[in-house]
Amino acid sequence: MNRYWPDLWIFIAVIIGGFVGGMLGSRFQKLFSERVLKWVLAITLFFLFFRFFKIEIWI
Amino acid sequence: MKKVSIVLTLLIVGIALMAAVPNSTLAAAKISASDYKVGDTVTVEGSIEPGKDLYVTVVSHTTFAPKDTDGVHEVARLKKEGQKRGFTNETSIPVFYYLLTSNPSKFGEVTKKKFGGPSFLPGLYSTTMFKLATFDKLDAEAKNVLGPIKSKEEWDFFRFAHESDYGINTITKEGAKRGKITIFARSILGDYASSGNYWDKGTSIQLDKSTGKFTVSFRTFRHTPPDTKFDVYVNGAKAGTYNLQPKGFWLSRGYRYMNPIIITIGAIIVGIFFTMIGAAGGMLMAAYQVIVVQTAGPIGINAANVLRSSNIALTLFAPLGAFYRYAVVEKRVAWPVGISFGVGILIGSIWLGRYATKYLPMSSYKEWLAVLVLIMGIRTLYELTPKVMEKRKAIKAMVKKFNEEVARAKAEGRAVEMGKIETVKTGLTSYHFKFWGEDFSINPLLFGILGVVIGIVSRSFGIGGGFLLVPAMTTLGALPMYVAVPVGLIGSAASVPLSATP
Repeated sequence: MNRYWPDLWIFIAVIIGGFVGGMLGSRFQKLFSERVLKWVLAITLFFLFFRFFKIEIWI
Repeated sequence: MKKVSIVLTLLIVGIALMAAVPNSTLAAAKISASDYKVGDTVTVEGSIEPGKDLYVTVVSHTTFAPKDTDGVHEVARLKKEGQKRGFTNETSIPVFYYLLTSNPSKFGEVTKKKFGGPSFLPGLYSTTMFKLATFDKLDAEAKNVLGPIKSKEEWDFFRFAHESDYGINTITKEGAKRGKITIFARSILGDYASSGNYWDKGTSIQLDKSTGKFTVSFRTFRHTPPDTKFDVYVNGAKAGTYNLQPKGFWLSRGYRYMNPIIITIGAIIVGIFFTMIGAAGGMLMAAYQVIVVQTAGPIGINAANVLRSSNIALTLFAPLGAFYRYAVVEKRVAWPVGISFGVGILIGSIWLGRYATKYLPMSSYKEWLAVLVLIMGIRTLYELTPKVMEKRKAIKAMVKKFNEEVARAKAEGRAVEMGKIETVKTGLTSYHFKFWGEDFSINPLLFGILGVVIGIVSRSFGIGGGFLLVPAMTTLGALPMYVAVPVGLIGSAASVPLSATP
């Protein structure tokens, strides 16, 4: 299992980025209406669908 | 007379030797430098026997054989692939290998390749790739210039490492891409100016067949590990060695040069998205790592197994960063639903997920996950239609209050104050609460069961469950996003311990 450890620097960068992003995201959420948040959620899900099936290959 | 006969004898012996060995010994070449930085262009100049084709073979000193990996999954997979494709645990090949030639057709052919789209379709997009020939189809001249690759086993392993997705992601770590999709790994390279092939980009081969003079240059792989040494052979004869020095910050397990600050910025953006919508944090981080960072993992370890373990940092730490505000400052966590869902996901992932991965071929269902993502996206948009909004009276009233508060806050020059969750009644099957003065009710047991299902999915595919839970809460539970998101984050964080398992 040791061989599956993540890259230390990526791991640290993601921890810091994730935590800061979490703090900012929770503050930003109230800047958006229910409708906008649902649109963002739907667009994110569509993006993942297109990536998953390799329909979107350019971004 | 004696002297003349000695000279004649030497001349005859020399001619005989030249005739006996391949034309390679006639080649003379010079590499433009002994040290380059990764991504630099290497130039080789010299001359070969007039009228002959040119073969410049560039091979790394770093080699790999299946026995070199200690990744549990890689050991099993490479053994299976070896039985199918004809290589063994001991078969060793150079990790980086390029053959620059004026005659690529000696080693294979340019074929059409379909790619993209779901597996049940032949491929949405069409491109070309260089398909390596089988060992039997290589003639003596081709076999003579392969450098350290001598046997059929080695050639078969080489083909696997350059043409199979698994081989590329585990061994060569370098892909010739269309868009962001790896088609194959470059190995046989021709002159880009005359071929126009996308994998030949950065390669120039100029050969004057009448004199045998040549100049070859090619761009080295930007993410070659620091201080990788290469041997250069010209028409089978060793011409020299060069070394690639690092350029940028080397990620030893990510196997890429990248400044960690760029990764931090990406994680911040993904973290903001994730904690705003409560879903898809792990999947977005994985997409960022694949598309931007291009995390490759060390040689012998499949990229996905290194990538997955660094993703969990996001699905755990982004909710932690958001939690203080959601739970303590704004009191927006529906605890009974969150706890029920968290317990469900743990049961699903730890207990049932083990059996699911053992007895069901879950990987073959992977594409259904994409279909599920699509359905959830459509359902979320459907929730926004006037017909549905009309039914969701509590949400409609809450949206009105939110808009009024935004307008008030703007007029008064202060931050928007969110509504809080006030519990009315708590039970196993019914949790009744007020949010911004509006009544909402949800069944925690139902979401516990949903958590079990999501836990199984999470264990099987190594992802969180937010993308299922948040749309489920907003559609089935008719809850506002402001309440669904904190619960979705609890679920994603609960799925972390098991989603890290490769």
